[in-house]
Amino acid sequence: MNKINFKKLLSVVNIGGSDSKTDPPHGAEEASPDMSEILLATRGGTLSLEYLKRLSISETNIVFDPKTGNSFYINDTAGLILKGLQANKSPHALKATIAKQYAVDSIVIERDFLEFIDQIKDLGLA
Amino acid sequence: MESRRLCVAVTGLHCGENPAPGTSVIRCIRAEPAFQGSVVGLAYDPLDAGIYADGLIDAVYLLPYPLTGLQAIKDRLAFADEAYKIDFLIPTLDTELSSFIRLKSFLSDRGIHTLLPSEDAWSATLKARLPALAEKCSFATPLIRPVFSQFAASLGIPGIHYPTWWPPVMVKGVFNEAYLAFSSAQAYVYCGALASRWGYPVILQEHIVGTEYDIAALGDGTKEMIGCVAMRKESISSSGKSTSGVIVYEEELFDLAKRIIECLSWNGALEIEVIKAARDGLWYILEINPRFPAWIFAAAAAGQNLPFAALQLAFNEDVKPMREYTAGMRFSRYTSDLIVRQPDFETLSSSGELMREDVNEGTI
Repeated sequence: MNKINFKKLLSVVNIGGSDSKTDPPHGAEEASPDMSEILLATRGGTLSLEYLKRLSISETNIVFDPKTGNSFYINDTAGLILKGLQANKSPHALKATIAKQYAVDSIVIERDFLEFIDQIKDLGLA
Repeated sequence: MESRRLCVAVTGLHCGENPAPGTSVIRCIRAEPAFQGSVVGLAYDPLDAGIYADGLIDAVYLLPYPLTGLQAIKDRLAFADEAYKIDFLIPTLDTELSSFIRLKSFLSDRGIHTLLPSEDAWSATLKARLPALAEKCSFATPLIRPVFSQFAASLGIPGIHYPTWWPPVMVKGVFNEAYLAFSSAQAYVYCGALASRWGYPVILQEHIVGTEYDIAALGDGTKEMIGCVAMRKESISSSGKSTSGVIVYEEELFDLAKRIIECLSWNGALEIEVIKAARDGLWYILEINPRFPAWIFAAAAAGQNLPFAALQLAFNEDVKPMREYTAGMRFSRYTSDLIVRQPDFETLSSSGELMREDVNEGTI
């Protein structure tokens, strides 16, 4: 099973607060940290929940960014995560929902979740 | 709005490949339930398609082209005003703005309200003067070189173009049209074509790769921005006009528009063409036009009816600055053949005026 090197790829921050951290918490690089109450930022940036909440997500899973005019298609799982984050659900709760719905190993969910967060940041959506 | 039925006159009714904003402006005015008046179209050619669009115009008067001189325009406006008492006039073409600015007092004396910038403010927005305005108002703009001959155009912009290195350059007409030239020879040819249509100077503008946006804004002449809507261009015609777009909500664009309105104490409509450069992520102003853009109806549909706000301002109504609108509204321009009755065409061509009897109210 692949081990994710959090320290190399990701920094961990609190979301939405002024006390955001840019360094990973102690032990983050050691195996799986508890991701339940934290969100992730990549490459030194921060995930802006405020910005994320401005995105319009249609029932057909089209994401529209009102700031840039860009539109994206996302799959059902991505839609579940984005809508969940907009509704202030914790990553832990979202991952539990995905695990329940799709019967996937938690490590795989963890990895996909991180990759997705990385991707929406690359696309300028958060 | 005054209880009496106001008459609004609008120019720019051409609706071809490069449509003028007139018909969109009229649609905005008509779409406002508070407006119960009439609309007079001021056209330059009996073939301007907006004349024959259903539900827009009550009467049409042909105007002489701006180059004919101010007196000819005055005479014609006086004729239209006597026949169809005009209360408010909205010019929508770059080429006629200077004439109407100089006619402000004449129009005012006749009781025709306008919402136009001062001559100084208007001249500061001319394409060739954009770098000076950029310095004054603190915004970025591509390198620009006005040229007065085809040979000069073929030399490109100093610092960018060399005999062995020719990056693409935008060649722009002084009032309208723009083409991307990929070689010195192309710049030479485009310059000749644009000069023959719009005169000199022809503007060479550094070509910046990025995403193009457009801003429609309205100033009240006291440094206050009454409204502002931004749009991202989705597709562009061969002459550089956006044919579809999506309304976006971007604070940095509002700040840009506000800065220009404040800097020039701008009175009236304003269009600002902006590009977000791929190379550095900065906003560069490509062009400023002293009028509403042709997509202004999409701005009204998104929640800010700027032409109607202009009408209210002209009648000294208390217009609160508008900030909110709905992003995600899209427009897609289409062309269609309007059927024109021969008697209508004959009447307009021979007498210079045409009464339309089939006007219905437009809706958003």
